[in-house]
Amino acid sequence: MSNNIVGAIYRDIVEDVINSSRIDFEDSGVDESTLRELKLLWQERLTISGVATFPWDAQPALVSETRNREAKASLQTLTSMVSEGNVASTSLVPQTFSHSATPVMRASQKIPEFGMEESVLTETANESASMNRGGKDVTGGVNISSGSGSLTLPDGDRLLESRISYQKFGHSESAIKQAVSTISIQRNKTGNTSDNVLSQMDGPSDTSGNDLNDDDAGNVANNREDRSSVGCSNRNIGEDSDAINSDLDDSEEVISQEEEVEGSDAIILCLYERVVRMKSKWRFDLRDGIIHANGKDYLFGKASGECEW
Amino acid sequence: MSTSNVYYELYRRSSIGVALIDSLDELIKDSKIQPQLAMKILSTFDRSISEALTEKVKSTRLSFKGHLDTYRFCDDVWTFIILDVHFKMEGNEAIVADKIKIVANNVKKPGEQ
Repeated sequence: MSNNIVGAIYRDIVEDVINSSRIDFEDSGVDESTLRELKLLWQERLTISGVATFPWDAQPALVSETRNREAKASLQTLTSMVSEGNVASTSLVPQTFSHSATPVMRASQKIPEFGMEESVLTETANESASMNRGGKDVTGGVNISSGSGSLTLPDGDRLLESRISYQKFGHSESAIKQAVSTISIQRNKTGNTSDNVLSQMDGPSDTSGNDLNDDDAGNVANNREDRSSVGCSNRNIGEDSDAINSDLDDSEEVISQEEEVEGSDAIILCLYERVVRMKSKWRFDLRDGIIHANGKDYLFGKASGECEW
Repeated sequence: MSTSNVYYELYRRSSIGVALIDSLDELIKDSKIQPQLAMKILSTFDRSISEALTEKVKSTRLSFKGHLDTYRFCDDVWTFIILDVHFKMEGNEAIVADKIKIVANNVKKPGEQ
């Protein structure tokens, strides 16, 4: 399938361009770090476009796996600390409870409560691990679990529990920071729809931050759309003033439709070897082309087509 | 005998080309590179992608059928809009699209025979 080769070929093109541009960068007195930054930006944008699977895409999957492992590891430390904590709290409990049998009961109750705490924290870890689905509110997730954690446990154990939860959050915070950078890229891609969903989760929506990100992400797309829309509006003005001649201008509708189509629809960029027409039957011999269709890229060396006009 | 060092800028409209242009725009906006350097990089990209498509995708063939809605030939560039197009690739892969635009430059560059 010609989509399979896209990742490898695009990687080769990126490498070739970056290596060939090194001399130009040096001649212009620009640092090597900027060249590396260009490469990263380029690869990020290709990954976001989702037109193929790229060799560098393995890294985000690895990052999420390591985050899952970190979450599991931290949960294991939590359970071990819980078991230690139970020993400690049984010594504390007699201070609050006079009956000797109740410490055992409290200890056994603590385990499910800490289990609840763990499950809430697991959800947090899963949230941070699955950030790529477009979840934004990392800090909100952390706050929820800390909030519920403080509710489920009795007062005597709150100090111990809070210490454990802070350590847990310390593990996940680094993962969260990694996720936030991914999120900022994802937000640029997903745009308004995800922001609307997330603002509902968060209560009062934080519009200032959203506006900045939307502006950054939307500028390029908006510029392109503006160009086509400006073109269309100019045409509309022309048609209004030349109403008598408007029926002669059928082709302009086609042109405006073409320009609207240009951005996201299917397109083939290639070379033609031969284009032949026989009455209304057209035959094409094309070469060295890139097809963008249904959100994916395909490459071909030769293509032949037949169409009826 | 002079060799043509100019490659088509056609492929700048592809996903990889647009990604490069957007990245360069971001660096220019942050004043990390000059626009002239960006133009050089894009010329390098034109060469690189043309050579990659010529050399690395030789064997991939496909055929397609559809209804030709629009054709245009201007400045040695063919532009077609084809509706209800079916692509068939090797291995019985098929792509279907309601509408597709083809922009094709001459395989013979200006000055070549």
